[in-house]
Amino acid sequence: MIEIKDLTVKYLRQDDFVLALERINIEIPAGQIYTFIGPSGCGKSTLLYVLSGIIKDYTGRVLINSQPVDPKKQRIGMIMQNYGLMPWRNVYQNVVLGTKIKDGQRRLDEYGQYILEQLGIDHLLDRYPKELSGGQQQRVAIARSFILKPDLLLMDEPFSALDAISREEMQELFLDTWKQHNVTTAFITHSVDEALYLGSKIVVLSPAPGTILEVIDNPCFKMEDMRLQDDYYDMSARIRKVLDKGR
Amino acid sequence: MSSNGKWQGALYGFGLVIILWQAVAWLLKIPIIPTPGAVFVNIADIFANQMQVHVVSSLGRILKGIFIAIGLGVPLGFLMGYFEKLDKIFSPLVYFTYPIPKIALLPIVMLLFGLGEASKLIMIVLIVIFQIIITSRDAVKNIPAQVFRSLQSLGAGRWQMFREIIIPASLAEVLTATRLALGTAVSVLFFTETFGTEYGMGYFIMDAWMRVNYLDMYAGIVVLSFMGFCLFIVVDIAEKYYCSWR
Ligand SMILES: Nc1ncnc2c1ncn2[C@@H]1O[C@H](COP(=O)(O)OP(=O)(O)O)[C@@H](O)[C@H]1O
Ligand SMILES: [Mg+2]
Repeated sequence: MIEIKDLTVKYLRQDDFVLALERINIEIPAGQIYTFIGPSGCGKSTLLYVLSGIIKDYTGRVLINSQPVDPKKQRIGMIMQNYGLMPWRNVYQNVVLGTKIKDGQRRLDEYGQYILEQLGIDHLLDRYPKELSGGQQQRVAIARSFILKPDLLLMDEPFSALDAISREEMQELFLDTWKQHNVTTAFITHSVDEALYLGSKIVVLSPAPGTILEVIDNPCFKMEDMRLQDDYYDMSARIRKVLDKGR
Repeated sequence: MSSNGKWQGALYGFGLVIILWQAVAWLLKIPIIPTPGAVFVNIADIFANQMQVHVVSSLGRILKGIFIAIGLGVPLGFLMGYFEKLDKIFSPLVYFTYPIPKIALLPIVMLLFGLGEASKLIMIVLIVIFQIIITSRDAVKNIPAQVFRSLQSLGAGRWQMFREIIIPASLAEVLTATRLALGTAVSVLFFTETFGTEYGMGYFIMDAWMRVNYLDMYAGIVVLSFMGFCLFIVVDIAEKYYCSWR
């Protein structure tokens, strides 16, 4: 479970500061996946940097499973927009990087092998990132986080650099993998469609400085053929209205 | 470039130099430009009992100088690239001293450290280390912040940052700087070996010149060039091996 109470984040610059997030209050229960949607620059990445311990300078309270954020103690799987792979490591080394740093475990166990097969990258192990397509790189990043068996999964617009077809394919693949493990997840997106497809709840953020406009229950989550249902259109319209109103 | 293409290029360059040299030698027919054939025969004659000691001592100086420069320069450059504060302290010093022609310091170094080995090594280190420091520092600075963040979110410590990111990310640039440094080191070496020693290729070449033995002089120049070329190739192979991810 993630608890965020009165979180405010400022970026300090020479003389002044940029207010990135203002008084954010939200709880993500264990095993839930929440999508966060908001316009560019509203502080979405900033929120994930706080949750992953990269930004330590903030006011308010942030707890992961009732403990303060500490990436040395917690297992945090972070997936970034540009994948965050090490260009100088091949797929195998990239995939085991998480467990290597956390547990000193450099070998893939059975579970790791299974994840690689499920994501369809078990035949690419000796390739370097530059020898992979964007979708394949993203699968490697996802494999790395799942193999880590994280307490918390943080995803920062992970599919936005992909073309429309591989994006839907990756969303489906990710959701299938996620359903089997139910990791507590904060998923950042700027696509209404993605927010609806992947979030059990949808957190709508205002333009900078980011505040929470509304937290919406998502009836479309885990729905068969979601994009063909009336609910999907109603929900899209509703989210767009909230986003517009915040402008 | 593919490794095959590189070898073909090197072979082509070598052939061209030999042809030009041969042509000039035939056209001018003067003793200060012997034919390549005569020089190579001379190398075969004198290498084992006259040149070998000189090659060994020159090679030793270059390797020692380069290793010291890398051993000091790379860690310092890495630290400057990683810790903003260290960069603020050392960068002005490096920038200020960088454009000073260090070879002009040779008399001072010799006065302080004598005419022997120490001065020769200090000169090599002094001249190549700045390039190595600056290259290593910039290589670290150019690593995208995202790469560090993904490791930070895993709770990696400082040492792991160095091992997983900084060292592999900058190895290619450090090797390139080493290659440049080797070229410079060979020139500096030649210069310093003309004083205070009776061993080294610089001494051998100048001595042959004094003795008006042009065949020996050319033999020395060819062997010294070949030595530089071999060092280049070693760095090239290392680059190919460690930087195949590029
Ligand atoms: N290092 C920084 N220094 C100053 N301002 C920053 C820095 N990083 C981000 N910001 C500002 O903070 C705000 C939120 O940024 P970010 O979290 O990256 O937004 P998002 O991910 O939603 O696009 C933006 O206005 C951005 O300009
Ligand atoms: Mg962002």
